[in-house]
Amino acid sequence: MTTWRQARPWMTWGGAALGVAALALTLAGPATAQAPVQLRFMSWYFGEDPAGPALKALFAEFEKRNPTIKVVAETVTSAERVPKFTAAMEAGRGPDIYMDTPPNAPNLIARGYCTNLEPLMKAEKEDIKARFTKGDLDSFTDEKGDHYFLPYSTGPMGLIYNAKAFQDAGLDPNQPPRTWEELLDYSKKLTKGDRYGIGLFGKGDNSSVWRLWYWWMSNGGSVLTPDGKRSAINSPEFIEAVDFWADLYRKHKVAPPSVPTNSFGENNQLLAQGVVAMVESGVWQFGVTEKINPAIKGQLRAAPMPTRKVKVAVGGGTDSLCITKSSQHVKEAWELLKFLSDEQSGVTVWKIHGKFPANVRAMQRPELKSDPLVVAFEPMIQVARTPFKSTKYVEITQALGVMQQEVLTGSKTTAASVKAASDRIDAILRD
Amino acid sequence: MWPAAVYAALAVVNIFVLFPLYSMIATSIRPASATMTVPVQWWPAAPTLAAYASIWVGRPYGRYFLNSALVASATTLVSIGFAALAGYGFSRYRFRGASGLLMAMVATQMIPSILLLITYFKVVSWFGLYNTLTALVLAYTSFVLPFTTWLLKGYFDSVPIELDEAALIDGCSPLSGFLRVILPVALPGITATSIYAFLLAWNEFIFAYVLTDSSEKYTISVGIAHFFGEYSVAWNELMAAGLVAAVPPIVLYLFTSRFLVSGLTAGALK
Repeated sequence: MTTWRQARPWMTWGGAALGVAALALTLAGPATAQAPVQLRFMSWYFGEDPAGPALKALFAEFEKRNPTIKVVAETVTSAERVPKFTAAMEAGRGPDIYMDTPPNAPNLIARGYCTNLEPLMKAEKEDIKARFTKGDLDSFTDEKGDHYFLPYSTGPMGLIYNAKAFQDAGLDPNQPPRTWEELLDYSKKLTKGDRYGIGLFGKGDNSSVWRLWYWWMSNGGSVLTPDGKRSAINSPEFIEAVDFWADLYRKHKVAPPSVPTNSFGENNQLLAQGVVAMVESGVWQFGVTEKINPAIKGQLRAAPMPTRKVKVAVGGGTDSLCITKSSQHVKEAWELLKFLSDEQSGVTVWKIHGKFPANVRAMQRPELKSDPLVVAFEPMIQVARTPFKSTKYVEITQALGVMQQEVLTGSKTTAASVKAASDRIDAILRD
Repeated sequence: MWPAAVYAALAVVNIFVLFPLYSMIATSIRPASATMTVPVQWWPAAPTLAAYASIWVGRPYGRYFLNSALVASATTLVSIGFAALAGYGFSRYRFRGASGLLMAMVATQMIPSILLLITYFKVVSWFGLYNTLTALVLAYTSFVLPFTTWLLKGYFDSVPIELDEAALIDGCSPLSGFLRVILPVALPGITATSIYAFLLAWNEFIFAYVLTDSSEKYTISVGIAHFFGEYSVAWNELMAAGLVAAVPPIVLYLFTSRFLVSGLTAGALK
């Protein structure tokens, strides 16, 4: 006869086994119900109109084709996206997919937040890289040249001008300036009273420095040496370009007196109010300006920036997507990335968002090809590139922002200011 | 001559302090197309309240407002509840390690809160509280509790111990003596501390931004940050939202200022 003392271990273990089995069954419950895979997608687009609706329309289409996948939008602000993404990644709760632009990409790649896309691309029958321009694609590589982001939308910067202001000044709106000398000549003719020829970005912030790239690149200057280890700005080409740009404000006074405090927001207002006739910007400028002043609709046009020595355009808004290292659903995330950057999605991007798709074949579709804006920007897309890639992008931009302010305010000569900025950049790169 | 100079100096200081407020008000009643005019318009040619209507109708500002009110109120209640008990304990009881504990509380205030962000993120995620207002209440309470405990400990120190003794003689237990006698007397101190806790929770941005990810959970500071778009800023709406966000703390101060300036123990002992 089994005593209670003899039976107790068996009962204890039996009870424990039953408990474990019950727990396993409970946990297995949801799995057998085959809940859809959730892809968490972090972007500032979701707080923007029409960028958010365009992306969400594409999600809806993707989910229709892939019923086992659900895309969950996680909103960040454009200005504070990196701190939030970084905190989420460091806490081990990063999204599956994250959107960012070329300036931030090298740092995010170097920190190991993004998945190397090379093996995924190699496993495809289609040459995925052929979907994009080299300039867009190569903005998101590591030192070995491996790709970590797929471009979604793009937008080189050109000359946005007010055709009515041109007419009022006796200029032909169909003949925008093509050289720097013509640009100066047009600016002088457009400047009258409280009206100025060109709105320059001189605040010294990222947006202002980003627009200054064009002038240096067009004059044959560059920021870093080809190996990326030293500053290359202390060159005659660089100094000449900065001088020409600054003289539009300092010497010729064809830009508003507020240039040293003007960036994107200020120039939006000035262009919308007709205070300036030209700005350096992208296709997004049209929607922004018309939102401020609907009466300006139809008056704005676009053209390539006037050329000096090198035909080039600055990539202004190549918003691209990476699969994060914290994603547990790389296969599904890759399917979404391919979908969002394909030709048909590109047409949706243009139709709803009004920004150029990164997919070059989409740009050739009849719906886009005949559009006057596409016609105007297409040549720029072909020559657009990011000025430089560096994990020290933010610090280098800050050094150049200081230089920009010194040059505009005249606190130093251009040569002295460029030399000081060059030394600062070298010190930054040595750290 | 001398008073005139003083008044002139005060006028300059007032202009310096009040100009941003004037600028906010003037911008908030401009139409979007006239927020930055050249030449400068010191007062809008056609004032409009459209921006105030837009933040309530066109954006979920009411939700942001409610979330902030819930988080700030809960933070204040929880932190003051604990701080009052802890402060009273530190003030009235001598026990081993009391001074060490108090110093440890001060030490926590010397750590920049941003350094704790990722740790909070991990803890909050681990407990399944990510994207909840509860997470914010817990985080803010942990920020304000050491400081509010110190403040109230100092305040209870200034309340005569004879009051405690009188309560005990009249038949109160230590806890009921604290609740019925000491707490009402300490109301001015509790009010000042509550305002501190409320304002911290009301204004805080980075934790609310990182620990939430949907507009249903945004507080006012996070909601307002979303007024800054990639390509445009609705300056008039931004200023309107900022002004409206300032109303609750101002109202709170107006209603509680009499407690702040009232006598501490006036008439308590006869």
